[in-house]
Amino acid sequence: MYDVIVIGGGPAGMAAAIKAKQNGSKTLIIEREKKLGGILKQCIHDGFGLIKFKKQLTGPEYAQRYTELVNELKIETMVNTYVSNLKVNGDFFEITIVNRKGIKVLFSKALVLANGCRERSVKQIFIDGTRPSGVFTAGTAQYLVNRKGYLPCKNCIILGSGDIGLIMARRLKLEGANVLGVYEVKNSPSGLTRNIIQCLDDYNIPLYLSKTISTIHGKNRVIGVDIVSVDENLKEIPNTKEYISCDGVILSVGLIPENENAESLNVSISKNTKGPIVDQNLMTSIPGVFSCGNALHVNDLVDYVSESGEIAGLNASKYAFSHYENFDEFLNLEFNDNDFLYVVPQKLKINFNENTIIYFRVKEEIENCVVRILYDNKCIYEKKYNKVKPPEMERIILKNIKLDITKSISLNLGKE
Amino acid sequence: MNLEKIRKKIKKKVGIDVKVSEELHAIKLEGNAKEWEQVVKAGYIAADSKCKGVINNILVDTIDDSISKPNFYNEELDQEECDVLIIGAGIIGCSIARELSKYKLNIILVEKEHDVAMHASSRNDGMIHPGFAPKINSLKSKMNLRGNYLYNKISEDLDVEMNKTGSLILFDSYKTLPLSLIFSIKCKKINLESKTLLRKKLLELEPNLAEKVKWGYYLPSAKVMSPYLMTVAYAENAVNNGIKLYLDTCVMNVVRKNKEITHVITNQGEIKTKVVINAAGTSADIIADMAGDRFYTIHPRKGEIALADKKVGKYFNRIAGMPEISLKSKSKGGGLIKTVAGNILIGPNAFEVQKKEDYTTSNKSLKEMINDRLEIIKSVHQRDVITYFAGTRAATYKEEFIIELSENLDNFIHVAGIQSPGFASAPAIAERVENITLEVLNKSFNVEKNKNYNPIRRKNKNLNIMDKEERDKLIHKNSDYGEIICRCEEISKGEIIDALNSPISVDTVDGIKRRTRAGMGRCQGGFCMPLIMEIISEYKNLKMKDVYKKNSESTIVVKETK
Amino acid sequence: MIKEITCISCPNGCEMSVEVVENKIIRVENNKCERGISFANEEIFNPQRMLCSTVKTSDPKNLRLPVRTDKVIPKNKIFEAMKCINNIVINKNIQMGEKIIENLLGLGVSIIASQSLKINSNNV
Repeated sequence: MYDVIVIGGGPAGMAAAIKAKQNGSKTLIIEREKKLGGILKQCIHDGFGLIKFKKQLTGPEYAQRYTELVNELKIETMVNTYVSNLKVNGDFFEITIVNRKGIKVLFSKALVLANGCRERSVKQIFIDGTRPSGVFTAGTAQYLVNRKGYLPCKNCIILGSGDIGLIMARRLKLEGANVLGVYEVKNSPSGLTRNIIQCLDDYNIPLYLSKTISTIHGKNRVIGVDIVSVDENLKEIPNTKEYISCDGVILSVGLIPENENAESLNVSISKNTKGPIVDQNLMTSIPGVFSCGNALHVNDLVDYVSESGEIAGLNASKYAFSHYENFDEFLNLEFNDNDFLYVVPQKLKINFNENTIIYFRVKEEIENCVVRILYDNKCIYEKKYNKVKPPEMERIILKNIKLDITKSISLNLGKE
Repeated sequence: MNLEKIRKKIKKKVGIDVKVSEELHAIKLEGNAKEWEQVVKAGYIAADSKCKGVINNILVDTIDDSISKPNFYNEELDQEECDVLIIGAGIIGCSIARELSKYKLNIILVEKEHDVAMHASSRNDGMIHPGFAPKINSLKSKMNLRGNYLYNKISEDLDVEMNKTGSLILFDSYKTLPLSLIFSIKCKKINLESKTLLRKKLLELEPNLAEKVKWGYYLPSAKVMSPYLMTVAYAENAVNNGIKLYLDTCVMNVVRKNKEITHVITNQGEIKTKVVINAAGTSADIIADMAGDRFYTIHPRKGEIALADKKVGKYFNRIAGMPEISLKSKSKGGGLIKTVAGNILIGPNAFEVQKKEDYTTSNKSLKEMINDRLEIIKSVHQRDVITYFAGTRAATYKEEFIIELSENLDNFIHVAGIQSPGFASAPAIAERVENITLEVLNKSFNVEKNKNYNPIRRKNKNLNIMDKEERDKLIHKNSDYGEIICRCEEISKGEIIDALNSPISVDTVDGIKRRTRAGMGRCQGGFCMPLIMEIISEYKNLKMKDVYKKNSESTIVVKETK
Repeated sequence: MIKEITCISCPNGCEMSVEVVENKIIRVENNKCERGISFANEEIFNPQRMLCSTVKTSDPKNLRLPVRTDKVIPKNKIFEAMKCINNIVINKNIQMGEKIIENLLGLGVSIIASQSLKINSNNV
C-alpha cells in the first residue's frame, strides 16, 4: 500500500512526488514513457526554470534536475508503465498497471493525476480536403526532429501560433527545412511575444493573422493547401483563397488536458479548463484525488506546472496521513465567462490558513486593467496590470482567507 | 427500347442533346454536358427504360479522374499462370478468393493498392443490413438476406467480432405510424423478424433517444462488424489456403482471343488465366471496358463518415436512423451505428461525385450531417467527433448488383455495382460467384476439392479485452505485450508486431492502424505514430524514411537531420 | 529616436520603449527588471541569442543529444554555428553541462550538453 501514487512523471508529477516524499509519504511515480521528464525531454529550447531555478534552462536540463532530485530522494518510480484502470475501493484507490513485467494492481491512499496534456488533432479543426501524410501536430514534429533526428518536411506551413508551433518554426528552419509562414485564424497570436520575436522575426518567418487553411490537398503526401482570410467571426471571406504548394502542415492549434484517468474516476471536469474542478489544495471532486500541471489546466510556464505539482503532492501526502481535514464546505470562486477563459481553483475551502494561489487567463487582451477579488461585495484583493492577454497565464496569491458559506466570492476584471 | 424517346426525354429534362444507342443490350449515351449532375440525371433517365444497363459516356469539360495506381513497372509476374484471376482485394474480391480456396485451383488476387480493403471496404459503416430496404426479389434483396444469415457462421470461422445489435428505423411523428403496417407486410414476405416499438419500449433499448423520437421499427437481425477487419480476415484465410495475393498490382489491360480472355497485363507483368473475376469496385466499369464487355457505368456516390470518441459510446448501443420520407431519394445514407470498437459512427451521407476515388471531406457537409444524425440522441455532440473520412459507393444507373458471367465472353465474371448493402451481401455474393466460376471451369476440367482447406482463421490477440490473468500470462511469455504504444486505445508493442507478422504483408502505419487500432483514438496518432514507425522500421528492416503512411508515395519523414 | 522592443530575457516579454540618441540608449521604459536594460543595449547594437539544438550520437537508442550554447552568440552567427554542431557525433558518455564544442567559431562560447548521455554499449 502506497500513501501517494503519482500518475505521470513529468515536471508536475515529479514535483508532486518530491513534496509527498519529503513530507514522509511512501510515494510512487508511474510514468508511461521510458524516462522521466515528460514532454520536456523534447523541448530542447531554453526558457525553463527562471522562477524555480533562477536560471534559463532547456527542457531536458529542467527535467534532469528534477529527475536527479527524484533519484536522490529514492522515490520509487515505474517507467514504461501504463495505467489501465483506476478504481475507488473504500478508503483507498486500486490502480491497475501494465508493463513489460505483467499486469498488477497497486493500492494507494491518495492519488495525484499529473497526466499532462495532448494536442488538438487536425480532425478537431475540420479542414476540407484529403487525409495525406505530412500533416503533423507540432509536438509530433518536435519529437521526430529533436529526439529522433528526422525532418518531417522540406517546405511546410504552420497552422496556429501556439508556442510549440512557433518554437518548431525555428527548429525546422535551423535543421534545414523551409517554413513558408505561420497562419493564425484569430487576429492576435496565441503564443508568447518573445517566441514571435526569437522564433519568427529572427528567421524572417512571416506570421499571418486572420488567415487559415481551408483545404488540404494531396492524395498520398500533402502537396499544398488553400489559405483563406477570415473575418472577425472567423468566417471565411469569399474570394480570398490562395493556393500554397508545400509538403508539410504543422499544427499548433491548442492543447487539451489529458483527463481520461480522472474521468474514469468520475472526477468533475471544468468546461473552462477541461481539467478537474479543484480546491486550493488541488483536490478534485473525489476526496483523495489531486490534479496538477497541464492535466489541471494548460500552463504557459513549466515553473508553474511544478508549483502546482508541489501543492498537489504535499496535500496528497497530508491526505494520506489523515492530516487533511476534509471539510466539505466550499464556496465557488465565481467569475465572468466574458472576462476570463478560466480560473483555478474553481472552489475555495472556507477555512484555509495557507496562501491560496489563483491562476487565471483572461479572454481578451486588455491594457491598464485591475483584477479584484470581491468577497461579500467588498474588495479583498486588487492587482493592477499594464496589459493582460490570453496567451499569458496570470497568478495571484491570496493570504489567509476565512470565508462564510452564505457569502459569495468572485474574481473580477475592471478598468483602472 | 425506344432510343429516340430517351434522347428526347434527356433533352427535355436535363437540357443536353446526347447520342443514344444500343450496345451489349445496354443503352449507351454519348455527348457533352456542362455539369456532372446532368450526366448523372441523363444516366438515370436511360436506366428507367427496359435495358440491361447504362453505358454513360457523356463527358463534362473537366475530366480529371485520377485513379491511384502503383508508380512502378516490372516483369515480376510474367511467368504467372492461374485458373482464376480476381481483380480487386476489397470485401468482394477477398470473400470470393476465400470461397474459391476450397478447391484445388491456382488463384491469384490482384490489388492495385498496397493493402487490402483500401477503398469502399474500409470506408463504410460496417452495418450488416437486415435486408429490409431492397426491393423484394431483387438481386440486392436476395444477396443481402442470405449474406446477413451467412455472417453468423463466417464471423465465427474467421474470428471477427460481430455485434448483433439490431437496427431501429425511427420516426418523429405518430402520424407515420401506419407505415409500420406496410413494413410488417414486407417483412412477412421476406421472412424477416421485426417489431414496432412505441417510445416507451424504444427507451428500454436506447435510453438516450431524443424527445422527438416517437416510435420506431425494430429489425433485430441487423448486425455490426468492422468492414476492414472482415476483409483482412477473408484475405488472410484465403492466403492461408493457398491463394496468391499480389498487392501494388494494377491491371492495365485485358487481352482476349475470340470469346475468351487469355491474360491480363499488369504493372508487374502479364498473368495468364482461365477465368477473370472483376471485383474492381468503383473501377469495375474500367476493367469491363478493357475486356470489351462494358454494359454499365459506375457513377461514384460519395459518403462521409464521422466517428465520435469512445467516451460518449455509452450513450448509444445499436444502429438507428431517421429516414427522410421522400420517394425520390436513392440512398441518403446511414444514421448512427455503435461500432464493435465502441465508437459511435455518424453517417454516411450520400452525394454524386465525378471522381471514383474522391475521398475529400468537406467541412460544411460533414457538420451538417453530424448535426442532423445526432439529433436522434442526447448527450453526443459535434465536439465529440475525433475523426472523419469519406468513401465512394460503386453505384450503377440500374442501382442493382451485377453478378453474372459475361454474355459475350466465356470466362469473364462481372461482380459490379456492389454498393450498399454490399458489405452485408458479401458472403452471399462470394457463394454465387463460386458457383458461376465452377460452372465455367468444369467445362474444361474437373475441379477438385482442396484437401488442405481450413475454413478456420484466428485473429491476433487483443490484450485490453482479456481478463487480467490471461493477459498477465501472455505478458510473462512475451514482454512486448506489456509495453503500451497507443495510449488512447491501449495497444501494446506485441500486438503491433503480431500485425507485422500477419499472413498478408503489412508495413505501413495505416496498415497497422486498421489491424490493431493503434492510432485510432482521440489523439489520432499524435503520440504513437513515431513509435509505430520505429517498430515497423526495426521489424521490417526499413529506414525510417521508408516507413510510409499507406503507400510509397505517402512518406512521413523526409530525411535525417544533420 | 524611440524604439519599441520586446524583451525576451524571460517569458514575461516586457514591451519596452527605448530611447536612443546618437547611438546611445538614454532611457528604457516598461521593463520589469534590470535585465531589460542590458537586453535593450544588446538588441539595438549587437543582437545576441542562445542557440539550442541537438548533436548526433552513435547510440541507436538515443539518436540525438540536446545541446545549447552556454552564453548568447551574435544572431548573425547562428547558421554558422549550426554547421559546427551538425558535424559532431557523440560516441562516449556525457554529463549534462559537459562541453561538446569549445570556443565555438572563436566566440569564446561553448556548446554544452543539455542532458547526460549514457551510450548504450550493447548496441555499439
